[in-house]
Amino acid sequence: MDYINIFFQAAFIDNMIFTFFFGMCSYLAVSKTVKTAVGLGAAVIFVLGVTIPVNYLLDVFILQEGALAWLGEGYAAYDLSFLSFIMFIAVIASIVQLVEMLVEKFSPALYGALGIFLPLIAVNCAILGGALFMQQKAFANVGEATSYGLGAGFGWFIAIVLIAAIRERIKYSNVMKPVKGVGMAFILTGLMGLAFLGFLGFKLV
Amino acid sequence: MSEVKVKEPLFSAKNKKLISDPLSDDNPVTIQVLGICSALAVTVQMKGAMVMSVAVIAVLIIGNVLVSLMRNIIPPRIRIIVQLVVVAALVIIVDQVLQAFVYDASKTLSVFVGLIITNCIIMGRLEAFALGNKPWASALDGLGNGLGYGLILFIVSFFKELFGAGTLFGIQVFGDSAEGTGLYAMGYENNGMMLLPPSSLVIVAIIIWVQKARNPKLQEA
Amino acid sequence: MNKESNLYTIIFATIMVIIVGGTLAYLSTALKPAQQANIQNEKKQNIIQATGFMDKDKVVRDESAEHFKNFVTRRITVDFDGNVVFDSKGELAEGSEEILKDNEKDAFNVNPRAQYRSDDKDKLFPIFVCENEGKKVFVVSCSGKGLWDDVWGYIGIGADGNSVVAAKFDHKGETAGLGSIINEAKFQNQFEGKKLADANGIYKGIQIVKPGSQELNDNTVDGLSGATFTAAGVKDMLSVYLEVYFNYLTKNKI
Repeated sequence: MDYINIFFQAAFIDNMIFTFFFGMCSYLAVSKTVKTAVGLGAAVIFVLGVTIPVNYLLDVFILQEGALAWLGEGYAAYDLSFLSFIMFIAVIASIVQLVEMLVEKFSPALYGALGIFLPLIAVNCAILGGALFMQQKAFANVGEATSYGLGAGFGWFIAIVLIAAIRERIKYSNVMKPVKGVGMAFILTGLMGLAFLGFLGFKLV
Repeated sequence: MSEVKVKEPLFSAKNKKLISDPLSDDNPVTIQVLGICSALAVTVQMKGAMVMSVAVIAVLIIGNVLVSLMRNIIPPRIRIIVQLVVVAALVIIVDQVLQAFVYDASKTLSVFVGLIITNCIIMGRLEAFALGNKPWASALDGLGNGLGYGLILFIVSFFKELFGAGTLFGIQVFGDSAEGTGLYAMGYENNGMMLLPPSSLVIVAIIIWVQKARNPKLQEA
Repeated sequence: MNKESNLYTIIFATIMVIIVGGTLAYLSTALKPAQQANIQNEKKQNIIQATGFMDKDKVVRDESAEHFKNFVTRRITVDFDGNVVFDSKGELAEGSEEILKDNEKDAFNVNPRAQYRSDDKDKLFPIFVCENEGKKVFVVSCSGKGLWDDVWGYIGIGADGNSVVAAKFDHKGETAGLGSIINEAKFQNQFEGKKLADANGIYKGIQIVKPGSQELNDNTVDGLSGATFTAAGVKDMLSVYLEVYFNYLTKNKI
């Protein structure tokens, strides 16, 4: 049950976009049509689902204070936590690069659909944000971390697809010239964020 | 800067534009739509917004200069990782030094550390400007964009703190809400919703509105 | 050399990793003692602030180590059932108040924030016995979860084990301007003079109620408007910890 709880908590209550505003830059830039939004959203779910468990293992077995104890008695005293930012970023950037190369080689069709979004994701703050939240939440095992990653990605996916659907419609509405485009997207996100505040403070876990 | 290589004065018209543009027509937050996450997350209090702005300006300038110095030796294939490492290392160094010597400042800053690294303005400027320009121009570009970012943070946090908590930089301006003096005696109340994140989105939207209404060139077709 | 070649990329990456890693490792090792001193002094500062011996604003962090030495006369750690697992009186030579760095059960080393996930029964409960001009105050430490992140506090309990003399709360990431008010005087000062038990000496704890909703008595304080969940987090944290401390302090005369 815990896995499901963590998934929904990450997707709705701690929604990356509406509660923490992580990944806003690509969220606003790529939400003009539903099709591209679905592509980027799927890529984010995938990358979060892969990088969070990897970063979790890295954190537990290498970075935390005393994490190196499995190497032997003498290593227990080391505390490498000051390296966590750099390590997380390096892992994210390399996994994104790796995924890009693999997808290109084995599934050209998927690459055509996802390809252009993958480099965008390396600098998407939702991914590093997810890794930092994962560190803060101190999950008990790698399964919990994975379901957190998938949940956070799913929440991001919902957010970008919703706003893209609204923006597709609003294109045909007579919006005041100065707020057209980005300005309207901000206001819409604000209103959607207010709605998501309704989830605030729910405790599932 | 060596005297021989400089072909233009330090503050030529072109260099001045590097600073002035991001403050108006090419603002990193409202026009380039970068660095939104932190602009929304840290604007509840003016003090926090100022600390964040100063930190971002510092990291932007130093990061821009470093990447610009290395621009001819960075292998193109791993340039994004190199840029991320430069930024992350800079931020960690600043954080560690503050923790040891200026503990109070580090407590204020510690929550922002992750946000500075993920701030897309920094990555955006490194990629778009510093990789192709000389160090001095990059430093000015960093300063300009940092100030443009700080300006938006200042405006947003001003309204949020004023209407949300009735204070500016922690000083009560409408009277004491608990004691019911000043404006509060007449039935005025703080609007708690202003302190919540969604209100910053609306304030940024209003800034965009004003800016684009004054300069129709920026409007989207 | 060709910048596109694999060899160049690998050499560049290696040199970069060595330089960055070396610099960071050096900085972190060199600055660690100063950083840890800051953290420990802050903890001492919070403990002294919860004794009520001095004005909270007058307790400067850099002088806290000195105050701590003067005021804290004994450190005790108890478990959930009230059994003593550490007592500085028995473990240390007479007159010595040195903190045992390697003993994780030493009350000063017990970090309630690190125990958040463990079961209530496995938690350790540190007590600092503080004395000044004949007055005795027990400072106890507790921790819980607010809306976003950790909240924690130090409560000063009078010699009767029942009345609160001062409280100091802090948080990691509560909403600034709403939940963050728990570390301000207007919230903390409410706790002064409150009682842990009712008139018959039966444990009641301290309840945080909706502000202005009811007449306050000796066991209730006003919560925060707009920060319901932070206040609920503080309330939960107090209910877990205070009962253990109350039972121990009233049953054992220290």
